[in-house]
Amino acid sequence: MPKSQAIQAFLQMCNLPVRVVCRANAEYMSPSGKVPFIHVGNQVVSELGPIVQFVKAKGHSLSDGLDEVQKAEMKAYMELVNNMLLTAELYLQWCDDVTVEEITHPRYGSPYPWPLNRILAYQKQWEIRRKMKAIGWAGKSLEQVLEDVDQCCQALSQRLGTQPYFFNKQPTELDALVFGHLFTILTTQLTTDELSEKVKNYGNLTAFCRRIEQQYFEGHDKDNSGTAAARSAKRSLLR
Amino acid sequence: MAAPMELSCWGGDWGLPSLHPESLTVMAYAKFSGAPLTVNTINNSWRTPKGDVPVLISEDTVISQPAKILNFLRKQKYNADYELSAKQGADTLAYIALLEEKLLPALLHTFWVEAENYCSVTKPWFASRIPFPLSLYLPGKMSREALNRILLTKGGPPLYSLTEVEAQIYRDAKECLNLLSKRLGTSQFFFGNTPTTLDAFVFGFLAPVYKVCFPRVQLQEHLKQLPNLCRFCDDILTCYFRLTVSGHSPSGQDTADANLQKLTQLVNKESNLIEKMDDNLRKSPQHPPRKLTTLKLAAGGEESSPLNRLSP
Repeated sequence: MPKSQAIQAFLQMCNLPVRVVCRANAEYMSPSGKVPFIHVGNQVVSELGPIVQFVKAKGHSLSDGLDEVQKAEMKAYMELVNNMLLTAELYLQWCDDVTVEEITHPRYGSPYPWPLNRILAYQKQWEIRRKMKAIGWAGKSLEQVLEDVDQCCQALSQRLGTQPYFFNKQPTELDALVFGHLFTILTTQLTTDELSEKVKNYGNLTAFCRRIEQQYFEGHDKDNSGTAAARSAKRSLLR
Repeated sequence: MAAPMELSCWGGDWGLPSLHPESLTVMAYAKFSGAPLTVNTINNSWRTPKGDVPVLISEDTVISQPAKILNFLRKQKYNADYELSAKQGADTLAYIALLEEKLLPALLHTFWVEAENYCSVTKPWFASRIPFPLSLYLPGKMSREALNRILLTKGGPPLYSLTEVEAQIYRDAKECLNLLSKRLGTSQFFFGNTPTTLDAFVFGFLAPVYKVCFPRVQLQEHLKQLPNLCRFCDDILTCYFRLTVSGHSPSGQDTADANLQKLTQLVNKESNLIEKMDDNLRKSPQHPPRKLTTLKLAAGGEESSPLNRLSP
């Protein structure tokens, strides 16, 4: 899932060792109800923003080398990713009827027995649809959402240009966040390939993802003791 | 371009052409790009606001959200972002997302949720501009929608009570204002000397916070500590909306002003052309006079920044 990949990437970039564990009740263990979260000693921190701050308080930061204007830019781009990419992913997962029926409901409800799986899935769907309505996305068609994704990818692609990372030589939390989302989009199987096609149109973005995957994830695979499900679900951009 | 365009939006007060951030954004963009819009402010007549506001009506097309309205204006060749590079265009999108995620919740809260503000200022103002009996119902509905939006987007755990959510959104808004101030620095506009889409959005969101007199004003106080943002709003109000900083707006002069602006632009263009012609004649008198077609092309190329000549 995009946030897990983003946080894993961020921690790898900080050179902090991380072990990935999959649990069905993860949402309930998390202090904010959101996954993923990290468990360090006796502290539990969830979501990318607080994790970045937690890690910074422990003395690791990726964005110290940026000046004030660059930090403002970085935060703005992170909001762009949250505003457009994340909302588009949620829309596709929960508001597009075909995807909901074939993929999301079965996947979300899989750890639970019937009828709990259906009830929880519908509850989550209703919650997400309410949110979409509040921010004005309920009236959007699939084409409009895909167009928004395209616009967002175009902006990211133009900002990245030919540099290795968004702020030239050093990766920052923005790189981790963008990687998380794009990697998930490129590797998740949906009913249509339109979403991943939109991203693939931008060569520098796919090259960016591949580069981060190679640099931060290839060597660490054997250290990760995930469950069998996680291992079989491991995907790669390099096939 | 010849089709008349009409914009329906909320009116203004306290020195602003409109109190509504989205309406203000569209109005500012129209001024920056030179689009001839007839602005109809919603008032106490029987024509009630239907659906989203602002709404642009051009011949048979009806367009309702600011982003879509701006796209439409761009397609009609009113493009304020003509001179931006690709990266600057990308930055525009990013900063607009920042405004919507971090500043908008606090703005909505100040206007529609904070009880003292809503009861003493917002509700009476909007109710006076909506015909009875809708005036009893519509402001309440807008308030509920604002609270809903804030809670659904910002209100999940670990923030369990409304006070915690409020504290968080104001923290985010103040941080957003700081970031905008750092980004603006000492320049006149966000991308140099000509205003663009981003300036329209920032102005649309900041000006209501800056100017409207509420009883509870923590966001306004924070904004007043950022003098470059205040100067940015005041500049746009004086240059583009012909309003003095103290807030007296000449009544019913919008069309006259627009015409005057157009006339001044034309005269400026003409005099520039004449100057150029003189220069050419002086430099190489034996060259045959330029064909009229080339002169027209030159005039077209200058259209991209006509407002440059007007800004003081």
